[in-house]
Amino acid sequence: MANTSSGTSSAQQNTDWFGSQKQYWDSWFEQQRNFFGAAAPQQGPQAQWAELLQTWQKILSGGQEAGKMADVAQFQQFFTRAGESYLDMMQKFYQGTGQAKPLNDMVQEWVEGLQKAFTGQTDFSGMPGFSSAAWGGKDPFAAMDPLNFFASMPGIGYTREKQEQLNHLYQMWEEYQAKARDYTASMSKVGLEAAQKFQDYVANPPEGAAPLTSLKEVYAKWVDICEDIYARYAMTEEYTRLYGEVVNALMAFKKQQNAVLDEVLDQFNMPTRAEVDSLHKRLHALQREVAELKAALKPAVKTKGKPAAKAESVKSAKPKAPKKAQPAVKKGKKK
Amino acid sequence: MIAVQLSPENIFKEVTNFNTKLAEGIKNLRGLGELPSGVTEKEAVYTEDKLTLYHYKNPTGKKATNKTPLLISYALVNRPYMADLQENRSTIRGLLETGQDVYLIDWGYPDRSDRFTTMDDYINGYIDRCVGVICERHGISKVNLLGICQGGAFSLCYAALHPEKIRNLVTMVTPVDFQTEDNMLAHWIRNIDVDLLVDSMGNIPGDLMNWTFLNLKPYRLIAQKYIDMVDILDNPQQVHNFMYMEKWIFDSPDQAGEAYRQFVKEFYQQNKLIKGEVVLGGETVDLGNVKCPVLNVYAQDDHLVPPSASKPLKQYVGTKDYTELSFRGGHIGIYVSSSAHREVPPSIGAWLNKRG
Repeated sequence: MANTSSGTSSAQQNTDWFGSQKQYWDSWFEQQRNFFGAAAPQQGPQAQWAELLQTWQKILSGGQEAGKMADVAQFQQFFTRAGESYLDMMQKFYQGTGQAKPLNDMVQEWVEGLQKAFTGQTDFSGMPGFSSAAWGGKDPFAAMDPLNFFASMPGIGYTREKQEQLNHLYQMWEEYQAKARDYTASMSKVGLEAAQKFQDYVANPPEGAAPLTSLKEVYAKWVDICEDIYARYAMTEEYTRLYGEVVNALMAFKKQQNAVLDEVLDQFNMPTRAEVDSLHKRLHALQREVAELKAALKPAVKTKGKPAAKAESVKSAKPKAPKKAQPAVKKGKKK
Repeated sequence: MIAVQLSPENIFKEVTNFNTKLAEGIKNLRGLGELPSGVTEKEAVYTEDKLTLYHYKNPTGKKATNKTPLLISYALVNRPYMADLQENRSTIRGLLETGQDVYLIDWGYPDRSDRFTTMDDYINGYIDRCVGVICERHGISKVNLLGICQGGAFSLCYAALHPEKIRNLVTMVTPVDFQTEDNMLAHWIRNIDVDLLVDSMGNIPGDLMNWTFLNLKPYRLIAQKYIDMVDILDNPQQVHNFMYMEKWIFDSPDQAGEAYRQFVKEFYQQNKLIKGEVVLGGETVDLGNVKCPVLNVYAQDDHLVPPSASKPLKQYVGTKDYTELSFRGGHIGIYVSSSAHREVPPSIGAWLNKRG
């Protein structure tokens, strides 16, 4: 068992410790492989985690209103991510047991893997309400105009306006991609700082700190450090600006995408989103007007023990004069 | 001292244990059955559009001793059964036990037909009509109002605009000053073009709201929480408890576009509530009009609505009877932890009973 002895460097201690424990590791490694292989074929943690998530998903989606959980792939991806960093750590240490790697190397490898995972997953196009699944989760323009050649040309002829719309859409996608890269780069800094802090902790633990004696404790320490660094960075002006820019760029793209889709739907003689929104808006204005007229016409009535009411039977205690039936908030500015 | 001291025996045990618990967990999850949305018996007494007004029945069969009924206005975000999650973790049940006659507004799941529903519709429309229904049922002119989180902000607006209809007001984990230094959500939303967001999305997807909340503590909420969960997977009761919460967290209605637009722009970005500049239905919301007794309940470790966002209420309401109740816990813990169940509803009930 590892222990501290004064006057010896941490590195030397680790090497000695691994040397003396190599036989143990080898035998445990063999035992563990046999255990998983014989007792539970195909049931290693990774496989079980996947099965757990499937079961989980069924339970949760069963309790949801129909239509929620639309993007199943996204949901699965989200939960798979939850476990993979820890499972990855287990795997790294598990594999390391057969190779007698220095402990610090194993820790470092694992942290590097986490860094990659966290810095590479800032694709906002997977954001709920913006289904990248519509184009298979890929860059919708990757094959269309890789050199931005056609999109930079002005449209001509009778399809000019439609071509301009598409060009505009493409340029907005490019703008989003640029903002997303900026955001990802900033998050990489968080990952790097966390990794550095974690390695510093392993090399020079603070006075009086309890040793980390389980994988879970190692993992928890890593999470604590990450959250601490992330929380500080997420409150900076830089983060707020980058976050705003990437979300705004994505929304601008989505708005233009809606306009292009409406064009297509119109050509197929289908109702468009703009038409349906317009209908909802008119209906809403009418509903408000009716409610206000009812309230103005009916006197206040207080009847004890009146049975359960429907909307039609409700009397406002304080009738109001009808107001202009419009949403309180004006339509937003156009981009 | 060596920071990391891992022995092969312990690692083997840990990995084996993890694996075993995962296997057990799958069995327990499969046997979980349907998760209910609230546990206390209730009756729908009024419906309108997606809204349902519920009246709760006291499980003990005892009649309410407080003659002024209590209306709970929950947030539009997430579902109101958070306040009635399980028998031993139910704010509503706790309030019933103190003799309150409890009603609750369930806003339902807005869809695209609710895209243009405004805050005025929610506050001067839906809440006001629910208050009207309760007053009619009981032959009274005032109710007690309890607002939760965003529902607390709505309740403050309602109490300011209709002071003649509120006897006592309770706000729970309610943001009042939206621009305090430690409010991460407020920082993030500062540079978001909310008009563009709503114009692009229509309604704001509930999943997007969740995504935002998870990103407040991504390492803990997206990853560590589920690793820790494995520890309890072999315990059916604990799995049950965990899944109740999990269901609630991800059971998120979409947000009606116009109401979201106004709430985020005017409350979060412009902090108009405390400036007295929010206008609903043509009338200005002046918190100074809130002259009824006010109980402000906040959670000390709330990362969504930090105490610094709730406590300023005292400066802005016009009441001379203002009380604060501080709970040692978080935004969710104040409803679901066993200590909250022991402390919070009895305190609220006692405060209400003292004032009628």
